[in-house]
Amino acid sequence: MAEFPCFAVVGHPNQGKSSVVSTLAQDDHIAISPVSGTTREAHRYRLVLKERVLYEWIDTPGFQRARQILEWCNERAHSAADRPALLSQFVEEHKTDPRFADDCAVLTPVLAGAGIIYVVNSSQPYSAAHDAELTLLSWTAQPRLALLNPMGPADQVAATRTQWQQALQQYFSLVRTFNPLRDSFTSQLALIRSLAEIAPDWQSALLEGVDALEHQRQERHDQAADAVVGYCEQVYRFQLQVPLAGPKEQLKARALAQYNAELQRRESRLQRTLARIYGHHHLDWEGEWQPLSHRDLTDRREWRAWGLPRRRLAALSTAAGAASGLAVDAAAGGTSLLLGAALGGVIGGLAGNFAGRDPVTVQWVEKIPGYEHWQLGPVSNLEFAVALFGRALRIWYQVRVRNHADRAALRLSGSDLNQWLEGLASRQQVQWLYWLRKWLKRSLTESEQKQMKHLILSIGDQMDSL
Amino acid sequence: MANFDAFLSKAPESRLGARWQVARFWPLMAGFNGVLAMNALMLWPSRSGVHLLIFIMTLVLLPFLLMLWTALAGLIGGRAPWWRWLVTQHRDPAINLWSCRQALLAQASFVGSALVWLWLMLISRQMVFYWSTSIEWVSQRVDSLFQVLSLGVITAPRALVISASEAGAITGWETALLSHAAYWGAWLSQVMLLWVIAPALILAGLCHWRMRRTLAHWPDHNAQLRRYYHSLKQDPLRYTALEPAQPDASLSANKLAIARHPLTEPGFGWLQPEGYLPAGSVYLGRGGHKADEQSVRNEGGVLKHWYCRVDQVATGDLADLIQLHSQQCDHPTLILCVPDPEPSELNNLLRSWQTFVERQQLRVHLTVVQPEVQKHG
Repeated sequence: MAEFPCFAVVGHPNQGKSSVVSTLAQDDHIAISPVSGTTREAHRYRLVLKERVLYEWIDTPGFQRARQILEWCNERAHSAADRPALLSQFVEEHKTDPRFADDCAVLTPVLAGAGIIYVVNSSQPYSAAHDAELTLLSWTAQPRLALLNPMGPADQVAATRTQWQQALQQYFSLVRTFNPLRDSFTSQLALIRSLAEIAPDWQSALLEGVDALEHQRQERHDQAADAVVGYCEQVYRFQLQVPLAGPKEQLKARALAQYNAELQRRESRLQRTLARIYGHHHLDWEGEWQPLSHRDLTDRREWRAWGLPRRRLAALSTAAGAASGLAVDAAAGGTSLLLGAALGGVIGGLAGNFAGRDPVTVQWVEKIPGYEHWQLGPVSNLEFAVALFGRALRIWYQVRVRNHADRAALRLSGSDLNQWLEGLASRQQVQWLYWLRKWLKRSLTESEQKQMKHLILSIGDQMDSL
Repeated sequence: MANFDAFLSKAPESRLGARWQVARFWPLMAGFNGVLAMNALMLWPSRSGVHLLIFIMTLVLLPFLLMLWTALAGLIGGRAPWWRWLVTQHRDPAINLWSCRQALLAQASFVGSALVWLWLMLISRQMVFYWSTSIEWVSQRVDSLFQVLSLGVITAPRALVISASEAGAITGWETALLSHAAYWGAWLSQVMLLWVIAPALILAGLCHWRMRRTLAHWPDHNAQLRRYYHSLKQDPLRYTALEPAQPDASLSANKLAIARHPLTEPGFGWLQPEGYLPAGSVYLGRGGHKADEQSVRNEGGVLKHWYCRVDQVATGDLADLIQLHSQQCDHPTLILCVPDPEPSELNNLLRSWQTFVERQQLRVHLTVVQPEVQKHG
């Protein structure tokens, strides 16, 4: 056995082996293509914790001539005990033969002591070639696990599932279903735990890896929430000064366009930051996101699309206003007879229901003739602020749940903010809007930002559970 | 960037470091001001000597009060001197403490440089120290003030010397004062050291210590810095690729037309279900490779076609059998059967087959057929 856990991901060509490795190794550089035979040689990926190797994945090409190898070995084997040595002999004799290059690349790491993850596209029927592959792998006596990758149409997957289960259970003690494009991070960790079950000698290192990955995941969420807070602080408090030159309406429209462009720029920076935090280097933001990013964020229709329904916003705003008023009542030692809470609630409700048409504060700041300036910002409209927040969370959601094997363009079907918020306790929902309203008045202090971050992390948990 | 210490050591090279250059020279500027102040005290209010009360107010009492205010605001209130906001708008306790330390060093430097200049003047020229007041109450209190300033540690000036220094008290006072100049110099030096320079340095040291403690957990105190630090920090847990990433393969992409007609000619069927192909066809891929080879040798002279489902994955076994067939039949036809309905990934499947033919160097005609009648008796 190798000094650290090492698993070769093997199988027939075009079964999604590289996708499995890409997701497990969190590496979107790995070449993946729907076209068969993309992987031409074995590639190794090590999980390193403070310069110590915890385990290694090996991405391999697909078996090409498994039946011929099986026959070659059977012709020479006198007993079952000869088979592992014969496999080694086969690899030794054919390692320079281009016809068997792929097969040797598959068998070499396994014969060197790597465990086996056998990947099958469960929409394809079982064949004699698969049988030969499984027989060869069983001869190596290495710890092995089979993965059913439901790549094809659902009806085909369902039709062949039983056939595959029965065939694989003859050769593997564990058979798991794993979709490298869609399965969650929790499923990925469950898969590594399954590997720990089949390889007791490697159990501790694999479980240590699982713990480290879980810890890293939490840190990534923490950093992402921090980045969202930083982004909100920047965009909510952003101020733009433009010289007063020309008719007022034209000037305002031009200034709002400039303001919108600046918001887009900051949002792009947030996209890059979040992608970096989650280790995505080749995300296709050009797909569905790009047309959306050209839209005018200061347009009220955008707010509706990304924010909360007006009635819900009004209800939350009323509660948040009442919470602010309660603080006043408390300061007055109760002598105000809860007038603060009542007034706060009314004002909050009005603010949520009848937010102004302007997204940001617009004021004339420099009045010296010849040097007049308009100042746009900070954000003053609650609906607009919620919409910006909803977009930021949507970006986070995209990179948070995305597996590294998924190379499709980012899909945006609209905001899920309302759904995510519903998962929070009522108190947390009110707190969230309370801090948001504060943000529109002033910068949040370090401790207030921390509280907001915790709320964002709670919303993040809802993203995983939905 | 491995850890926070490494991050801090790189700080001067970063965009954060450039902002501090001016504030770093703050104590030096204060030292220069100390020399100017000492010169001014020698010229004002009278060119004949240094007014003791103004001297004490300028170089002891005022710096002492400022020092006290700075230290209390910085170490207890967590606030920074006014000029800190000219350097940066970041809200950060470490920056506040650093600014506080610079302010205290500046106060020590201001008084210290004045003290050095005072002694240079005492050595190089004649100096007199005096005070003058027309208010009797003040005159009476000067003695006790000097006692207090001495703190009981150093010898306070004798009452005779104090009164002798009071301008106008004695005729010919300048001559008398000259003999006391060194005495006053020594006493004033001790007062400046005891009341301003030593405490300012001690408090600056305390600020520095507090700052170091804050710096050890700096990202906890500053969200902006925390984000910047995390963007540079290398994660202790990471996946490492031992081989360089494989470049994207160049794949064939010729457009293949799909014909729609029944399958009439018998041929070799690769992994095809029994009865799917015309009568006389040979089904391969179900058993051993040698048996398939034998079938190809036996029927290769008669059969010209290979039938494969387009959504099957081609392997080297199939390539070897087609190569074997090519020895008997010049350019056999590889017919890819497209099921109905067409697979969503049809284009990719066709590209896979084209790539297979190209890589295995098969001499075949590649055609695509969607069979109209799929069942044969």
